[in-house]
Amino acid sequence: MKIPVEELRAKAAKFQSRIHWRNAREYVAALVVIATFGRALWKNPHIVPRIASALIVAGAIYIVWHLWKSGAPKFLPADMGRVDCVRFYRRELERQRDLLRSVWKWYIGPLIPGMALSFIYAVAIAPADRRWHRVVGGAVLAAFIWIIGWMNQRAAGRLDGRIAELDREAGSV
Amino acid sequence: MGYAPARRDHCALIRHYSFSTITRLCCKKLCAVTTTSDVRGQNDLYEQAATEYGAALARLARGYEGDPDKRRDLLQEIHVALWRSFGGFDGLCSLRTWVYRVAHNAAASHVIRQRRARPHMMVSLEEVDALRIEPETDRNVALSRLTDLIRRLKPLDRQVILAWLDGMDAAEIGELTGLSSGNVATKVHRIKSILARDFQGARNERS
Repeated sequence: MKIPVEELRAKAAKFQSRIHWRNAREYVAALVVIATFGRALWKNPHIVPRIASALIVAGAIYIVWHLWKSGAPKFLPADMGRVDCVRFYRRELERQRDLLRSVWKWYIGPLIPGMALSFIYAVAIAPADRRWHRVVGGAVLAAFIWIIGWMNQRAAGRLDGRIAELDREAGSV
Repeated sequence: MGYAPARRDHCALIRHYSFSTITRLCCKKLCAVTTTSDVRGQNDLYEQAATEYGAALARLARGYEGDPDKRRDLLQEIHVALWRSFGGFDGLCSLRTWVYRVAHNAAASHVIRQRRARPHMMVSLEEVDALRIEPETDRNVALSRLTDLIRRLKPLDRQVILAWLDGMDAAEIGELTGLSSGNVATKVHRIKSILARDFQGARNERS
């Protein structure tokens, strides 16, 4: 089987554009957050929700900056022929592991200060008989976020195990 | 075709730039001279590789992916990866080793992506060796079961068995995978034992 070079070129561009589109979706989501909370920062007369909105906007800007700084990963790295199978596989596992491990730091974490402040303010201003609803709602949201972070860390731990197994296998005689 | 810098350009460079800048500029001009021939070389290398190893790449894709549609996608990915890689082919290894490395690495990426979507257990050669499978003498059934088994193997073991079935010797498999020769020899010994014991019908599959 031989594929014409023009077709190969088109397919290579298509593969790479899939990654660019994935990143573009993240940028759009961040822009929506910035626009929504930017508006709240501008319109809300109360100081605490304005600070919370500013924190969320700052967090979203940090996420966008991190995405841009990391750059788009290569779908088919050009050095595939130079790297032997063990090293290539290990590198892919490490990349995935590091991505999962850093989710707290650059994807969830930046938004937490603003969200936490919003929640505290919402509880503080709620009527006494409705306060516990908001506390429970906030606790459920916090638990959900924690579970996502925990699952990512667990997946990163499993990848650590696979890397160690690969090292043992590659090193054993 | 290419770029032929005039003599006066060189004198101007020497008068006005530092040595490191001149070196960098010369490299840029050299790259400009060789760009067109690089692209032709990349395309020629791909044509040669696709002609010589096209069938082997199809077999390799079959060893990694059971679903026919995904296998077709994988094979296309391998060809794209191969073509792209030839832009940086340095000749430090044989064309064969380069082709197999690209193919196996592209396929390994595919396996990683598939496992993210559908996690499933993978087994090692040692675990297969320890199993007692009912021996199969019918060639087609044996080949089908062997292919299914290969797809369940962990990536490194899968790479070794596919390379061995494609006629690579221990040294070539070591160069391809990065495994030590002793490690390769152990795995090849296990492969032979499993084939002889459980897949008698497929014994002559190695081509």
